[in-house]
Amino acid sequence: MADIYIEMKKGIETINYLVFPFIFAFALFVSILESYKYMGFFQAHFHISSFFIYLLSIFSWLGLVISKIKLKIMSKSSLMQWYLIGGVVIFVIILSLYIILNELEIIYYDNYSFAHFHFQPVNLIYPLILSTESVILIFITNNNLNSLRGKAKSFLKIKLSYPRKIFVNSRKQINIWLAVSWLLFFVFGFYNFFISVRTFVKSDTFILSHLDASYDKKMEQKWGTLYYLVELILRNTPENSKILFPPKMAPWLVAGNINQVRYFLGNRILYNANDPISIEGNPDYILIAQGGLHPVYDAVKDASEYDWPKVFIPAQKIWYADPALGRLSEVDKDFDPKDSMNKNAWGLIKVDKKRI
Amino acid sequence: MITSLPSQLFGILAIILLGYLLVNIFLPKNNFFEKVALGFLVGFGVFTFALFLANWLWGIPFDILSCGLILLFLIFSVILINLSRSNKFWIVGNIFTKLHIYLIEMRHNPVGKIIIFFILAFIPVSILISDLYWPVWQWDAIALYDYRARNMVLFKSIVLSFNVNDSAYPLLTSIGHGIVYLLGGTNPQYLYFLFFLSIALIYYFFLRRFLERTYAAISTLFVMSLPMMYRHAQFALSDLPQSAYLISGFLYLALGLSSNKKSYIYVSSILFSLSGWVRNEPFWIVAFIILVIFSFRRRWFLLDGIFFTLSYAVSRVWLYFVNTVSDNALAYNHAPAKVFAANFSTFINPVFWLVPITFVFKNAILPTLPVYIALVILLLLHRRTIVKIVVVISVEILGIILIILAGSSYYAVTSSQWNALYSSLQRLMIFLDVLAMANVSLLLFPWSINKKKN
Repeated sequence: MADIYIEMKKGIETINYLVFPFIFAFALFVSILESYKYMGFFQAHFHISSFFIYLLSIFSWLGLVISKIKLKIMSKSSLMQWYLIGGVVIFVIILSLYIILNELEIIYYDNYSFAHFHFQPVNLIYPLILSTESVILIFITNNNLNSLRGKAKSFLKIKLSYPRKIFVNSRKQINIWLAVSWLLFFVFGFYNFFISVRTFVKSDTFILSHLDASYDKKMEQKWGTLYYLVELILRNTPENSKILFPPKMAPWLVAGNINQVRYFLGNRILYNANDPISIEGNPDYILIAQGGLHPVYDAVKDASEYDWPKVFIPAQKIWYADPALGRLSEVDKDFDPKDSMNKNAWGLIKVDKKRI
Repeated sequence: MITSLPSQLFGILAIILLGYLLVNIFLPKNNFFEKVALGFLVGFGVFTFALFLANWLWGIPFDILSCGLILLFLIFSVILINLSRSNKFWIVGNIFTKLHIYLIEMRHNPVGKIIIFFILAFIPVSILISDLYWPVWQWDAIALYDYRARNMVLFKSIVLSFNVNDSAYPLLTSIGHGIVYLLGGTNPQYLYFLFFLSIALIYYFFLRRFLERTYAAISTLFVMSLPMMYRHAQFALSDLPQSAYLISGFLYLALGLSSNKKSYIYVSSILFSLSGWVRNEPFWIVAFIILVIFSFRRRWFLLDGIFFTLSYAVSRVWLYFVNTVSDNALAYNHAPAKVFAANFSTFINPVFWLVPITFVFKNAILPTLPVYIALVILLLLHRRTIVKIVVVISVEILGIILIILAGSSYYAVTSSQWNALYSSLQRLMIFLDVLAMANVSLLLFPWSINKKKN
């Protein structure tokens, strides 16, 4: 009975040894195809699950790994060795692709690789796993390992000697590298120095022409629109008044940043709206904010998201600030978001509390 | 501002004197100007921390009289320590002799020396003009640092004016602004000019130990011209002060390890502890690990312990204070160990690491890539004759990059908008660029004939 089992085992190992190259190649082909098309492509067209094919390949490979006799035969068969080396080459290519495509998606945007090369990096994980079968087989078949070790050693001996040759061999080579270092250091250093000079000269122009500029003038120069709003509020609201700011979200993250303006606004009560359309807290004044003061924090996809408030507000008075021209204007009318005056506007509403 | 100039000058000089005397305990024989530059950093940090402790623990108010008395007490104590060690701190060395010699040398090449002087002086003078002219305007300064300072002066208290929502960063810069306001000043930005000048002087005197005056000056000019350095010397933010403490800390650590002088390492640990008083960043851990590695054979275990305690003490006190004030509402929920355990599968995924590596490369290395390329070339060229100080600084640079990488990967899993804060990383890397410049200078320029190499 034991002999039968041994014979059966040998038979299975022999069959496995014969079919492994085909299963391995087929599984690799399917995985690469699906990484190019989409996961489930093979099943959709041929009604066979690709996952089943991968599993088959892995089991066949495991069968080879645990069969010492077949591993010995493998190591002596030059055809099989070349076959496995081919698998290693595919492994290296796919690994490189995997890293490069992931890197591209990080640098540019998600889906960049699929948009440009029709490969989804995440799907390359299957061919990568499958091709490692040949890498592991190469290393566990001793003859291949020894000869590869020998080849790798001589290869590395040549390559590792390059830096030594480049950096040490002659005074001329040392001088070249020293010259490169000097160039890098000095060009970088002097470039920065001249940039500093240029930066100072540019700002110096303002300083020289505004030697006696007031604090407000200097802050307007640095803060622009936001400081105009601060001045608007300081000039037209008493202390302890309640002022409603836009919600803390793009495109009003900067305009709605109370921490930024509390420095100037003394004892006024500043608070944010909870969302773009609600007016809560019974404010005395409400800021008018177009938004978009910061190119990153206040970025929105749709221009229609700008402008706040977005609801009708009965008002005693509205002040409009034109930061570009440095002008303020005043009107006695209600705030209607549909009014063209309130498009792309900055200002302050004095709420008519009797009618709100 | 002008009417209060004498009081401000007097106050700043007194703080520098405190720092000078403290530094003189450890480095009595060092160059006078080097000690003054170090003295500003140490004095400013120690004095502001002392004011904080005095107000928090003993309720001493934050006003001009109390600040003056505390400063006098500290100066007096440090004078006694100096006298007990027979340090003749009143001897400022032969600076006048050296100045005399320099003026004589000028006769030989007056034009050249005047041009060099103006080139070297241009950057600091331009920064000073900018700092004196512009008021505090940076968003973070208005929203946090200077806002806290004004409240401290208004409430005459550091602790009572403290709002837990404003606890993002420790109080060194805010108390510094507060001191300027107490002295009658209206614009504390010139403090950042002083931080900048301290960096320049410490860097120059560090290189001067090994290089001729000309090479040290050229390298210092390039460091002063670094874009982030130049820009942040004109901002009332905490990046430059922190960089000042970290640059000096790492340079003195390297000096201590290469020359086997413990005094430099003690000074380094004080600087690292004060860096935690500016911003609570864990770079002192890199320094501690490097100290342990390089001092292991010498069995400086006590020194390691003192270094660890000093470096960690200040930031620990600050965290304790914040937790006390906030009733532990701000307890640290994102402990690195917990984050690592919860995201283990992410951390072992090689693809995940491409993200922080790219982020760190783009924002920490790329802006000063020529310096790093030059550094790698020079390290390879000198690999057989490399000196210990260069090795230590190279290991410091590597350690800093690794900790930045670890920090970036940590934020990549805990925050969805972490990579929008790329400018924060760029500002944080001021000190790394300076260390790289120092190493390149040591490798590139010929050393003075009479300087020791190891």
